[in-house]
Amino acid sequence: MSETTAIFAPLNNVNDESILVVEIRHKDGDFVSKDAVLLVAETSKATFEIPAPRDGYVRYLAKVQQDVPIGEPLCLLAESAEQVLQAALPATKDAGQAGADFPPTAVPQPVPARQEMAAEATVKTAGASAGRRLSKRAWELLKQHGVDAAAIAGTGLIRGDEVRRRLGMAATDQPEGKSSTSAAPAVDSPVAANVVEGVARHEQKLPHSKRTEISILATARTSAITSQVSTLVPCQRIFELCSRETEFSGEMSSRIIFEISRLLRRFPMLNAGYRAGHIVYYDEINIGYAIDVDHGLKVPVFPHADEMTLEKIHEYKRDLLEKYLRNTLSLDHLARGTFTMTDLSAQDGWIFNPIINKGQAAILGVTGEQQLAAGQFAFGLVLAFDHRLTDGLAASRFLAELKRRLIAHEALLLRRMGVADDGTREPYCEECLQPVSEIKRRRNHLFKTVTADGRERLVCSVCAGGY
Amino acid sequence: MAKPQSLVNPANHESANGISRAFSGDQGSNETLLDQIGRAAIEKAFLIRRVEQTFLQLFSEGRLFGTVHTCIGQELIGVAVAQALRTDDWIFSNHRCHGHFIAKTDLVEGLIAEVMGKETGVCGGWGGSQHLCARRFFSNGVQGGIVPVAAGLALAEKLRGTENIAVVFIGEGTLGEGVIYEASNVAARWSLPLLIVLENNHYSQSTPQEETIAGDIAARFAALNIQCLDTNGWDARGLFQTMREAVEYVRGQKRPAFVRVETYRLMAHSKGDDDRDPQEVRNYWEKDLLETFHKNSPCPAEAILTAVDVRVQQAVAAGLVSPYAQVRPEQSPDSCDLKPVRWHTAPVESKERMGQAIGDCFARRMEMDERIVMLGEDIRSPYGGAFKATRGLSDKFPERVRNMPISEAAIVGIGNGLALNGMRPVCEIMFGDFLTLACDQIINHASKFPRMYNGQVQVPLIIRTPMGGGRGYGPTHSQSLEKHFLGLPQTWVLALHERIHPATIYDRLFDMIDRLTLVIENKLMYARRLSPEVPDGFVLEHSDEPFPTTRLRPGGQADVTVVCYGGNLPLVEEAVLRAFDEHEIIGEIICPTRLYPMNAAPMLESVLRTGRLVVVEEGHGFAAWGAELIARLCEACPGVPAKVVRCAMPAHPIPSSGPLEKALLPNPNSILENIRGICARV
Repeated sequence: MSETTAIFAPLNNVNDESILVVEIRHKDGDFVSKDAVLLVAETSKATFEIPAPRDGYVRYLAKVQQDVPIGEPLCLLAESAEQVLQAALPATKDAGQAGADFPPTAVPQPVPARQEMAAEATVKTAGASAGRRLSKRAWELLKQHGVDAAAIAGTGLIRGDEVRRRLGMAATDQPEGKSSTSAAPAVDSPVAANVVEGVARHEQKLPHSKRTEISILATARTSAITSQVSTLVPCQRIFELCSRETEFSGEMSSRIIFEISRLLRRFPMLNAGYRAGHIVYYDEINIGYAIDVDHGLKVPVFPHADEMTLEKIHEYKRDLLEKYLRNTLSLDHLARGTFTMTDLSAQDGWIFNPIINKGQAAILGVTGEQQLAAGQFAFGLVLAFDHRLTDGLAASRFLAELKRRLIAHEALLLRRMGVADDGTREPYCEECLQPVSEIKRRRNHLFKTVTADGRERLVCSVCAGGY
Repeated sequence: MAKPQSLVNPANHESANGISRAFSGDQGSNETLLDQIGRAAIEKAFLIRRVEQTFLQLFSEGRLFGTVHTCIGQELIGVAVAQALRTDDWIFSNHRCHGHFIAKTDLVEGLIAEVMGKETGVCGGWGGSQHLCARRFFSNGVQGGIVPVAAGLALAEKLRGTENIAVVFIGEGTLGEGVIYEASNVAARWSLPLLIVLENNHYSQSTPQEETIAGDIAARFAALNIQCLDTNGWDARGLFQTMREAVEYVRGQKRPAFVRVETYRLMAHSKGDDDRDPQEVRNYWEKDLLETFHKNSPCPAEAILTAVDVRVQQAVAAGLVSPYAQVRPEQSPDSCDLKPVRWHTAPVESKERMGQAIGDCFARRMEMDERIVMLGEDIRSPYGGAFKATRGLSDKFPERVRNMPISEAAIVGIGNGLALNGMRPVCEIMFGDFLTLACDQIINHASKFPRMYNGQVQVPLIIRTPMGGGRGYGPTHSQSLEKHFLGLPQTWVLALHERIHPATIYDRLFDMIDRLTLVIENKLMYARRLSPEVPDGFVLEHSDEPFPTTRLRPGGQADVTVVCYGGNLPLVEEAVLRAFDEHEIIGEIICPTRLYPMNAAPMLESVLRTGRLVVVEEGHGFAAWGAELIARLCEACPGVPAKVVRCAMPAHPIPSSGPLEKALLPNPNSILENIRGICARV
């Protein structure tokens, strides 16, 4: 017989994925006769002997105390010591077949023992943290850009966007450095003129507040790589409903501020700044709230908004509005914003392009409510963001989550106002705005009265001061 | 001692179904009852009768809770047994237990208060009429299951080498319960000091014996080579003599014995449910020994009754004024809490095979603690258990590692008895699927005892069993049935996995066990090695709970929390790694060891960060652990998690065919799909 026989790790127990070699009975190159015990192995259930299926010279591919997966070769048997020592390593075979012949290869190659081959794979042990892991996309990006993985510092899980950011940092830092020397126009720079020459014109100096605004916005506009995503939030004219009733006035906007501040904890890259290839995460969540009624655009800030209760936010907003109208907002009220919300819900604006504030990563715009079809209303959420710090996926996830929460808030508000799912509103006291169900729950009554001018009016027994 | 009358050959005595022998007692003698059994026994019998008559009276006045099963007409049997016993002997009785209880413990006041639902009752009002415990006396209201428990009490005494014995009372109606044969077989095979007393009153509640019992009663036990004796309740001298002989035999020979006592219940099964022929009942009233004694010897009888009545009335008066039982704070169950945990980096463990590691731990603990006893099928050498976790243990501890017949109810029942009697039994159920055969022991006995006996006992019983599929064992050897055992009072349910050394869990368990604990050992796990390599980019952490929760925390903000337990951990790990590698979704894995009581805090903490939760479990998902977890999270923090998905076996039996099984059980592909799905949903 001129063939080499491989002996594979057999499947003795249905629960085992490998066997453990506990004893090797011969030395490499020894002659063994048929049925002599080649080695002793252990499954999870028992130890058992593996006999030689034929006479021959043996060479072991496994070592003592080595775990050999079922179907992997344990040893080889051949006609001569030379032949077996030079035989090629057989392929893994299906479990359950104890021995098989295969032809010797034309060019005998020395085969490393399994232990050595396995050595590399088993360096690591169980226990604590182990380095970092790159996603496939991250690897591909590195390969694409010919960057060595070692150049990416840090531990943990590294995604493609992280690699892109780090690559992008190198890429954008470079052009940015160059742009100052090149002729690239500094768009919207505070000093840049933006005037059509040759037409009749007159000039008036902008108010100081507007000039400050330009300066701030322009800085942000120049430095950021802006992009934006938007979404529609189906609603039942909630802003309209809120604005009509003092008790609920401004309520929905407060709830948006409340939810943004909570969400930003989960989207720290939207509550961040950029500096020289670094993302600067802000450890505070200070929401700026853009107000522009008659006294110019101001962005007073809700400091640590994520720690404010909804009631606190609502109260604070009223206070800010009052201060804005009285022109008593101090610098302190306007400083340290880390994210901005601009609220056009009271207006008829539909598509607009909010401009990211200086030092910030994103701004949320809330549009006015629009009628999409008969009885179908929606308002829009627009998130403009600095693409250096995040991407469209994260931004749209942020919006989606915010949308989900706002729908819940609307439902809550509508319930409190006594508006049914179909948009109809149950009768309510025109004094205290309590819906009739709530009035009845408190064992009071709602009844129709006639005012001095002859108009019908619903009032509850409490507001009417009794019957 | 006199050789007990053997009934080994059933041909030598009349059919058990006839009751003619009931009248064969020593009725014609001139001896009075006083001469035959003495004043103390008569006094005790009258005490029992008066207590039970009082119960019927109190019941009709609406002063009792539930019902009462009286033994009026059968009182002397309990008195005869109790007189033959020593203080340290055990009695396990059934629903009709007042007589046995008073005979053994004399705690009349405690019994009356108990049945009245008062705090001063022997079980603080938790047990009531059928569930009594005091002074080495127990009773339980479920038929048959008490026999293996009594056998376990007896085994503990045998292992300790004492002379104490255990007695179990059954009625002939209980002969229909298979578990008594399981237990009797083991008691005979192992020569346990167990006395089985069968009170044959010929009616199972309302059904006459002739309708339901075939063959000979004693022959059932004789066939197991158990010494059988026969006596009746109308021959007082014979009754007391037989009981003395039986007890002496069990104590002296350290062998089980069976005594059949012909008797008749003079009152209804419980209250107004008596359909028997009134003439038949009247006949037995006329034969009743206490009635006869009262009639024939009015003088001593009245004297005894007067004293008895005073005692009973005082006890009733005391019971009436004592307060109703209240739930006290220390009795509140610990079914579910939200206890914040601290995490520490998991230690590097050895690379042993799980099965080997479990066995090594047992060997070490058995060396340290002589109370540990292993019971199971095929667990002794050379086989060492179907999954080899007990390999070699019986060589070291031949007396304490015991092969059981295929009798799961008896395995757990005897374990129950061992635990009640201060041992630390470890019962192996070969496949978790077979736990169904031991349900009564788990649900109606082990998990009930501690609270129903008002904290007087502990049941430090470990039941180990492999669950899980993946090997083509098919519908009855692959299930994960743990959900059926979650939520039982005073129990723990643990699930082992490869990222915590089993010795960590079992050492803590042996150190602190005070209750029934079900340990789930996934069957694929035995052959695997401990502590697989921690994947790059993750940190492996354990919580500081006694039975730690494992967390595989990603080095990065997690998008989704994936919760699993036991054998599913490797599958979940694979899915989470692929979710990151292929889809850039970062998952955090939380894998608790203790399924019940549940501490949802580690999961809540993670889900608060991620907002998404995937729960993976191998059993059927409906009303399972994952559902409970989600409910708990919603209770604790409404709206968190915002998105939830459960990945579990659909409501099919587990198929045998590999591809079918693979398609239905949670696997890395299906888990990954769920992770992707929940992360895509907005």
